[in-house]
Amino acid sequence: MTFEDDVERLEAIAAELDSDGVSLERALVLFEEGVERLRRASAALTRAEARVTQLVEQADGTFELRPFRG
Amino acid sequence: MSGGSRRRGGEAPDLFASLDATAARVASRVAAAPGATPETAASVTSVARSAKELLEGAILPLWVRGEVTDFKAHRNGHWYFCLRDDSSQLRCVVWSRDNVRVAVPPTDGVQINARGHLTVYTARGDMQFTVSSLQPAGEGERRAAVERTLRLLRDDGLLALERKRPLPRFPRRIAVVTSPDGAAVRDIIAVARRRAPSVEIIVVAARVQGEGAPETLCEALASLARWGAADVVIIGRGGGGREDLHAFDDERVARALAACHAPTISAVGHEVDVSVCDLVADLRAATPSAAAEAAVGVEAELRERLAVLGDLVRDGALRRMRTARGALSDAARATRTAAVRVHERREARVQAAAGRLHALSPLATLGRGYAVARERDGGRVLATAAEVRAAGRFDLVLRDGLVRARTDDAPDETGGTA
Repeated sequence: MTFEDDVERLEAIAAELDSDGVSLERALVLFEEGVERLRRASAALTRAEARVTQLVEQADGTFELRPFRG
Repeated sequence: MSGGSRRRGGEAPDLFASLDATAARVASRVAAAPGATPETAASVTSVARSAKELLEGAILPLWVRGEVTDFKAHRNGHWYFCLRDDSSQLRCVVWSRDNVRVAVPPTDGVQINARGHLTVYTARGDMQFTVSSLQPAGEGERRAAVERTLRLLRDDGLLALERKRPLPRFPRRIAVVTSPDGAAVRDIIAVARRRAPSVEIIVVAARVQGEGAPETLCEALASLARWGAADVVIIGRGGGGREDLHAFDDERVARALAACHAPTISAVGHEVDVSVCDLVADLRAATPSAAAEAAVGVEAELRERLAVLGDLVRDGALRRMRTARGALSDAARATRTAAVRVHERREARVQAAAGRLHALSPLATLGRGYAVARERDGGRVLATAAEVRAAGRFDLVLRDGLVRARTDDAPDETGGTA
């Protein structure tokens, strides 16, 4: 579930809620989902300044993100 | 001579005299020509100027190939060097107004093709080759190789416009394949940080020029593919000469880029020339900074967008709930109305039934002044004279109550008085 998914889903939810003929039950489910996604997307944005890292692939095929000092 | 002319004499025009005079004039002029005699020695300037006019007029601009030596970039912006081959050398100059078009100065030992014209620098009396443009020797071959690579890639559909993927609108992780020491990575980090501080940047180190650069670029892309967590990939380097971009024309690098799991942006930093990677990437950016701008949106705008979406979702849900509440109260009202109507209908039926009942009721008969004889204490109705006689004592039910009664024409069972 990426930030992008969340925002796109929010757009779809807003559009569906705005349309005619959505049932109350559906509207409540959509609203609940919308609130959850909004919370998550906002949290991603308020995250402290993200790191700059360097991708290093180990000999055993695992990956390490080391702090990058450019 | 004048004596001779006089000897041929007379007043008539003397042809010979005229010829003689002309000859004398020519002779004196030749004797007076600069440099003809020590007395008429030419000035240095006039010689240098004559040489300049002759040389510059006689040789048209042309391409010259040679090896660069003694390259010096003067602080006034002009470049000086020599072009040489096995047996000769030619002094060269590139004026600053021309060298701005050459991305990277040539270095000593490099074979180049230089286009220019021969000039004489009269202040020094030097002949020099004034270069207006230059390219590494082998540039023609390189271009042919690029064309070949492009043909192969095109045959495999890797240059097709339909292949171009849109960039993610809200990437959270940007991978940057470039030299960790270059200006490109610094520019990208700076721009991305400014626009979207919360976006993660992952540098995937590779050599971008020189020996082995294509291989390290391929490895970096392969490693990135195995990791698989980047939302968008920028591949590039800062500006460089065309020959320094060689690695980005490599077919293997181009194919690795085309196979990238995430949308790609090339930022090879050469505005004039397009590299093969530029054509394969989903987006070509002129510079690394432009690539970073294309990759990440401005976070403040994103936050704004989220707020708007939040409002839309809330308003939509509220509106729907208000509609539902309205429908509910409508339904309640309708139910109540219906219930009242049902009740009223029932009441009417009850009254009708009661009316019919009343008409048939013996009580109604009583109301009209009749009486009913019944066995004592709520027993059965005594409908015949025989029953009444037999009962003797009985209750007489009247409109407004009950009277205890007994018969007069029958023997009193108790022997008492009636």
